[in-house]
Amino acid sequence: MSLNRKLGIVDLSTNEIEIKPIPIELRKKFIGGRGLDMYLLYNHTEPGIDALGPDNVAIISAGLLSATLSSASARTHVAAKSPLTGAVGSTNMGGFFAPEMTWAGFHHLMLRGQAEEPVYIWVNDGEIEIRDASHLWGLSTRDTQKALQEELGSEVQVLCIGPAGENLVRYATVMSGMKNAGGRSGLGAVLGSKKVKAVVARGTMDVEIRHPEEALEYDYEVMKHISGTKFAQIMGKYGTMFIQSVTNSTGLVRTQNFQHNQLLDAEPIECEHIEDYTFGTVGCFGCIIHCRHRYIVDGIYDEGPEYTAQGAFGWEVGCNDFETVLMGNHLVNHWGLDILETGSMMAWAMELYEKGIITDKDTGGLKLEWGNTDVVLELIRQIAFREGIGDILAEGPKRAAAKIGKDSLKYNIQVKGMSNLHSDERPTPALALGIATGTRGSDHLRSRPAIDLYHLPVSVLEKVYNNPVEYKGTYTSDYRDYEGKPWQVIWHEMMYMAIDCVGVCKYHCTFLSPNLMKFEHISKFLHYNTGLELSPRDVWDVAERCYNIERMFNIREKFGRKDDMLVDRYFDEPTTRGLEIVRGRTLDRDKFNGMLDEYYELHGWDENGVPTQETLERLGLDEEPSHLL
Amino acid sequence: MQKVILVDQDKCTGCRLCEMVCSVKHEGVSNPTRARINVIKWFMEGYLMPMICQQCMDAPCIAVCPKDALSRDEERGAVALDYDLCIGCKMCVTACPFGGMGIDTVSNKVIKCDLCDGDPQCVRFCFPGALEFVDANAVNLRKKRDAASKLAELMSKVVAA
Amino acid sequence: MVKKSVSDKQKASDRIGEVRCLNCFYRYKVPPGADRFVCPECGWEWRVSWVNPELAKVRGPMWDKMRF
Ligand code: SF4
Ligand code: SF4
Ligand code: SF4
Ligand SMILES: [Zn+2]
Repeated sequence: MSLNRKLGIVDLSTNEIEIKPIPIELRKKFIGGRGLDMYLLYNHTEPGIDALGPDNVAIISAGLLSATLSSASARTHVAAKSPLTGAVGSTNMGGFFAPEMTWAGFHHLMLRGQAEEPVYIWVNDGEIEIRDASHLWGLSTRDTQKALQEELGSEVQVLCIGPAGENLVRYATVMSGMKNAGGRSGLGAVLGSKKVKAVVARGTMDVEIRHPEEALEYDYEVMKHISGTKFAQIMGKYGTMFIQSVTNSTGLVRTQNFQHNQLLDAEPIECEHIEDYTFGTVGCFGCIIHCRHRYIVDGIYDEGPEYTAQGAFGWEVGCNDFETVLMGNHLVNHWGLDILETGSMMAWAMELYEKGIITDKDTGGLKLEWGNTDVVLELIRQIAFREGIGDILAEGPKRAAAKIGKDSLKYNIQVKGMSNLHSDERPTPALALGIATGTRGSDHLRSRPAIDLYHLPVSVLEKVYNNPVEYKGTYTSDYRDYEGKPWQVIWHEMMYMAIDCVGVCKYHCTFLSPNLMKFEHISKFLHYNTGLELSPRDVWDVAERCYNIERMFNIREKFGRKDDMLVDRYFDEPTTRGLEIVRGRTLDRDKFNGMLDEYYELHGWDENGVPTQETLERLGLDEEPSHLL
Repeated sequence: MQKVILVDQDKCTGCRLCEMVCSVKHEGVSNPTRARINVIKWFMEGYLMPMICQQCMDAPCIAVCPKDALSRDEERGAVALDYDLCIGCKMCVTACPFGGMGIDTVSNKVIKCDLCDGDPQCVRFCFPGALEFVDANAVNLRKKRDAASKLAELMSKVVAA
Repeated sequence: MVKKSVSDKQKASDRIGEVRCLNCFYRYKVPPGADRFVCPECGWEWRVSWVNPELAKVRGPMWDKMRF
């Protein structure tokens, strides 16, 4: 049964290992996955700790529905205090690691302390061991996995860091397989600081399905529906790269750092070109969408690429070359760097170079010019290995800006010290509010109301967003409006939190299409697979509780309203390109603040964004930290 | 009518849904080590191969079984396993060249694909179409047609170039 | 599985080739196999690609018209 999966606590300083059952009370309150991770993080860290020190904890988890019949129950979540932002660190990846950990008897694994020499953690059928990994230190993510599979058998699943994590690049990833990357928040550096090169799982333990026949039928029905949607068909053919056809064609991407909102003449990097390099797609565990391509570039095999690869190595750095996108994607996977942060930091450096804020002297002669593909690929290497200017860029937006000085920070497009996705939200207030308020920093995966771009009729918006909790205000179909948007942001916060608690892929829920899974599906999947009875409204309440505990973590670290803000360029510099409907637009500062006020009020937070006592009581969070686990 | 499961590994996305549904169907649990189908992966090369009992005509497992627990079910075109006769010696596991006979780690019995009594769940859940349940006598023709269309595609490229 | 009713099928086939103009959000049915269309509502021209014979998507604008 999923509910009997355990928590393993590994102390790397003392080599002690503790295994604990997860109380059903906590399951009902936090479900599992990201939600329970956040409970553990809040309970097991003190405010103000060094994210790269022994007091930080790294929590690796599977959702409660991991390895069950619930449409792509594949996702692994990792949590810690983020070395990039100092706020909650949270990252989520696909692949096969979480199901394997579940079959090995565990849903959560908490690593604390710091090892003296490199180690890897072996998780196998109810047991946990700390093992020597000095022979793996320095290896790329794929070579690490290859070595561990040779050592332990080809069935094992490996989560590991690459050289970037070892070198404490503040946006290093944790990786599993070719392309499953826990990219955001720099949690690869947290593992690096603990000298944990990898966690390896292998399990042969049953996950009992509560109502097997019904679970099969219900899962089939949901999958059949998903596979029939336009979204799944497009996604299964091009992956997330299809988004570029909408956003870049309209003028909604962030180009040359923030100077433009569209890459011109972008035909060469359109998603259709993948057909020349691919020999088929792959999916994560249980997934019928299969959004990743298996491709070969320059004789090298890799998987993906995604929208973010086009952004990072395409429009952000002014490149119009598909092979650079493919190769850049490979290099960040190989060395374990967050693709998004890497692209943004490079684009920022290029703008600084263009403006003369950094010169050849700082770059070691590297000409950081827009569209220079060789420089782009070389910069990736320098960041991963902390060489030359890469050593500064590896520090992430705020620390790098402090090192470079002058007015470099004002050109950096970040929120809470985390770079924004390579999209331009000036014409889209809803999306802008989402990235401004995201708990882990600027982020499109906490709350982005992406379907706002589809100009859906108000009747459809009402149907989606008034469930399971009703909104009293009005919606508008125009993505340039400010009305109703705060509620949409909150609705997606809850949707994505809920899906992260159960460990199902976001692409299967209402994220990029209004026709996919919602709260009632999660409720049913929980019923059929685990027997945990939560109504759709209960699932929403769990999500709200979990989201508030993330917020509380940030408040404890002294984040507040001032940090839920976009950089001035959003309000001062009008967009320059794109269709007429998005050209010449800035965000309106007053209206934006108005949205923020409404957003706080709907959440039950005060005007500084702090959850009120009443809200904490309503959510049963007034006793936190409660140390129940 | 004899029907067989036809595997087209080019269409497989490696999702392992087939493994999970097989174990849920037969054991009521999710556990790929107890499934009758497994997807073998060379993940560094992106090569995937679903492996399943071939329901052989001249089956080595039948040949080695000392208790005649394995036999051909001519009506369904399957190799059937009779647990009342099986003594669990696992000779068949050794004999099968495809790994089609497995050992259930919990019951310690041998397990093999039983075509889900005519409604194979792995096929039903394989949305990419890597697994198909087709008439035995259509298989040959189907393969020929697939090969021919690939050839035709190649030819058209040559002609166009 | 529930069988699709005739009207469901009709609805599905009605949507073959349907794409949305990114400029004015008008829904337009692209003729089978066409690789571009001019939006009848706003006159903007789009390039199109086909995910499968029934499903078209906007591929991108005519880049030579994107000049500012
Ligand atoms: S949609 Fe993509 S990321 Fe999500 S589970 Fe499927 S293959 Fe993985
Ligand atoms: S269900 Fe189909 S696509 Fe998925 S692993 Fe099995 S054979 Fe491959
Ligand atoms: S047909 Fe049934 S028994 Fe055979 S592999 Fe598929 S799911 Fe398992
Ligand atoms: Zn139009």
